[in-house]
Amino acid sequence: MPRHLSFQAKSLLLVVLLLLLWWFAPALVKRWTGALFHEFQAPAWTALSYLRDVRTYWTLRGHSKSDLIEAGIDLSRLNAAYALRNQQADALEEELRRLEAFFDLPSHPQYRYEVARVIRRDLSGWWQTLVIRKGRNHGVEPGQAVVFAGGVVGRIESASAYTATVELISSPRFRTAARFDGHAAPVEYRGGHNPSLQVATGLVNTVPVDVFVSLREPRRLTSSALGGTFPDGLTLGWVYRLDPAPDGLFQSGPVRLDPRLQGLREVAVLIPLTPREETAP
Amino acid sequence: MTHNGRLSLLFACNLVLYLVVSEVNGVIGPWTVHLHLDVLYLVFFGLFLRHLGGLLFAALMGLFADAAHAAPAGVFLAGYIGLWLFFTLCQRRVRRQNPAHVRAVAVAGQLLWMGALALVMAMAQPSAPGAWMRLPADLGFSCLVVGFLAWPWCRFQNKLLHTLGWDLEAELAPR
Repeated sequence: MPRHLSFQAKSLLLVVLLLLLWWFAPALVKRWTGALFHEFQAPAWTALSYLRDVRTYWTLRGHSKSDLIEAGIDLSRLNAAYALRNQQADALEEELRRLEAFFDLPSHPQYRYEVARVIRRDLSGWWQTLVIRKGRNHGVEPGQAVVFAGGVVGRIESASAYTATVELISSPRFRTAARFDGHAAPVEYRGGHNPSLQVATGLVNTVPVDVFVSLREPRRLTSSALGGTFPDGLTLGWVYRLDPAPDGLFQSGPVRLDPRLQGLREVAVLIPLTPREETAP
Repeated sequence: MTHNGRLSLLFACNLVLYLVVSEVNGVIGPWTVHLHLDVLYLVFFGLFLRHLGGLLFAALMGLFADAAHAAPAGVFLAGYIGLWLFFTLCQRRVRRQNPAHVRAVAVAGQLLWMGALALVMAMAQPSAPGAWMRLPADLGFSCLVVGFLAWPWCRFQNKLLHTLGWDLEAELAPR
């Protein structure tokens, strides 16, 4: 470095050199650097999430016994209702298997649920991601579906050893096939409208003109198995308005997403029980 | 303790701030507001120090942020070292002992950074017009917090260095 240069000139020179170095670095080096720095900070996020769990535990410890007894009664009622639903589900599944065997149909894909805590939320206007506390070591792979009690959360964008990043359905980069409840035609869903201090919304396109919605009679938009990521019938959001597209063949409109999506604490990853078949080129 | 050791301690403090900011963003996420406080990690290294180690730490912070956010690879790295250069170039034009000057430069840096980030992201995702509607609120909120915190954060780091035996005021005397 020349000695007669001022500190500012040296800084400028070094910044330019550093930028050129990064620009010409091989893609492999960039990916490796990204993975290295992600893995380096993941333990800190995990530690913070465990601290939050401890805080929640001690907050709950402060509840009175009468509160716990009431919660226990509510849970026992729910358990009884779910036990009944389980029996009905078992009977329906048995019927489904019998019909599949009778008509020689391909069986529906089966999943197991891997429940994971949310350890980080990054919800800006340009990206909407969550980091969860389960990764490749738990069977989580990129592309898998993530759900919660209110429906679809998103899909796994990347997975490292102990953590995974989920792209939310409210993210501007999110696209998937969908369909309206009770309507077989597939439509296109895309995320991306997240106005400040309001509930996130998405957009639905290529809606057939025979689908009608109104403020009084909104329709539920559900996931479609056509995309290969999500099973059929999981809630994406509600559509209150549809406007005709310029071509007159289709309609499009905003999709109101679940408000709980922005404050999730726990989600479930749908891990296929049978590995995906590779599609032929 | 050597200068590099003291700078590493400052870097650790900024890493803690980085984690705190990500926690705060997690808490305020349900209100659909996002805090960008990137300038706070860099303003002291750029504005107060005449040491090229600041560039290394700015690059490291950029790589950390790149790995944590869903932006194209290298955006935060380039942005952070660009911000560091901006603060370095401001050293001769700003009175660092004046809180108003430090706050003003920090807010200007934040405006520049968020504008640049918005342009890069708009080019990477041309089909995301909704993000622009979100920008004014995030920008206003972030600049308000940066303007409020920039001076106390710099003063804290300055005092920490002074406690560790590095008198910046003597070093930064006009040349």
